[in-house]
Amino acid sequence: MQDSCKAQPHPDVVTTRLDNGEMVLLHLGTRQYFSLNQTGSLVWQQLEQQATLASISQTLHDRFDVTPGDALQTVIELMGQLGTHNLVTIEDS
Amino acid sequence: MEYSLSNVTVQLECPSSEQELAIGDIWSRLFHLGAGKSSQPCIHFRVGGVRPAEISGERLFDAPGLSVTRNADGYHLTSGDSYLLVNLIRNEIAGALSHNFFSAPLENQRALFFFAFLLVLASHGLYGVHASGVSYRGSGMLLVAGSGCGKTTLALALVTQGWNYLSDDAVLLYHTANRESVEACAFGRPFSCGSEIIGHFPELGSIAADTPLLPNGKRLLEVSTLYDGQFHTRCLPNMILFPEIVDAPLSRLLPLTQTEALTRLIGQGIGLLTERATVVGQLRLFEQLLMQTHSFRLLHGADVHSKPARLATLLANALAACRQPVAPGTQGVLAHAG
Repeated sequence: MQDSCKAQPHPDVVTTRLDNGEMVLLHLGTRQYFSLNQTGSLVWQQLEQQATLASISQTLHDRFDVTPGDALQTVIELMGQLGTHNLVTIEDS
Repeated sequence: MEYSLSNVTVQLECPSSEQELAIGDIWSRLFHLGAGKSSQPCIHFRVGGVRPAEISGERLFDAPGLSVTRNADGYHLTSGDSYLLVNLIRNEIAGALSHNFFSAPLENQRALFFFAFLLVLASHGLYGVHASGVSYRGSGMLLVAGSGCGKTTLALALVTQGWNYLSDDAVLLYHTANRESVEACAFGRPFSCGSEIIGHFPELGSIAADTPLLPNGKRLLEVSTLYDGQFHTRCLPNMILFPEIVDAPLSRLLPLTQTEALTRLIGQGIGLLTERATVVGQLRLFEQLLMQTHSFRLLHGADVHSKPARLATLLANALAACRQPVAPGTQGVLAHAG
């Protein structure tokens, strides 16, 4: 997966945000649901704004005490998990 | 004939007055009914149609007493040779109830009517959840769990200690008129009790003797005559418990984060995963509910029967403390919840 890739929330995914900053994703098609912690929620919000993976990892680097490389690795790993469960669609930019 | 059922008015139309009375009688045993009110949203319930020879579509649910298929016409509910079509756009339940249906076990009648009403009620902002509802000194508590986790036993144990009750197996949740909080209201009327529960609460024996044993080994008991004045139509929940039966002498509470509680609520939400708008509405309601409540796992042990007063005190103290603000929590980046 390239950092220029874009991922978008799958249209069948319904989300809910809690006031603790975490999120729950519910896939209407597979009827499975998942939780995202505060970091994952931030990534998801960036996906909703159609940010590239590079842009999302930059946001994580800016907000948290992580190196750019670790931030990108976190984003790519999360995209892999989200993609496995059909929660996002990934396309090359 | 018009009835009030959980904040909506149900307008019943039948081909004969006999059938109308028979349905009204079944409903009065299944639900807490009142007289219809013009101020409430109205659902049309029409009996006298014809069951289609074939129903195609997505099969959503299939059990011996009830099957549910969805297609462009709506939700097709079949129980034996009886049939109901739930059309959310027309706000209507319509179909044909056979002669056999009226002599079928109450459990089968309940399954058909419960599902039909839950689908329509959700479109009116009343969302079902698998829970027993109880309250104490004005504070509400939901015992949220599937079958076999002890909801009924816990509710009865608390009722015998002076708590009030709403429903045994399902409550409806809805936003208050000002949308500042979420209330729970009663849905089903009888308590579903197996022989073990009846054995632990001897007072149930007097009404169990006159109540048919269902194929699932349980009896649907009307408990309001036993616990006079303790039924409440609604409450404001301050605490949510997710009960689990454990092999231990004493019960204990383990706090849950909002996220953990939400995923558990989703797992017990009735009607979720149907219409997108319904799902979104129910999730928003759960969000708000979690802002006004604290959530716990309740690992309930032998004291439910041996020391019900101790358990009632534990839960009453926890309920009183639940007026404090809710603390956030954290967990893994992505967690598969269900």
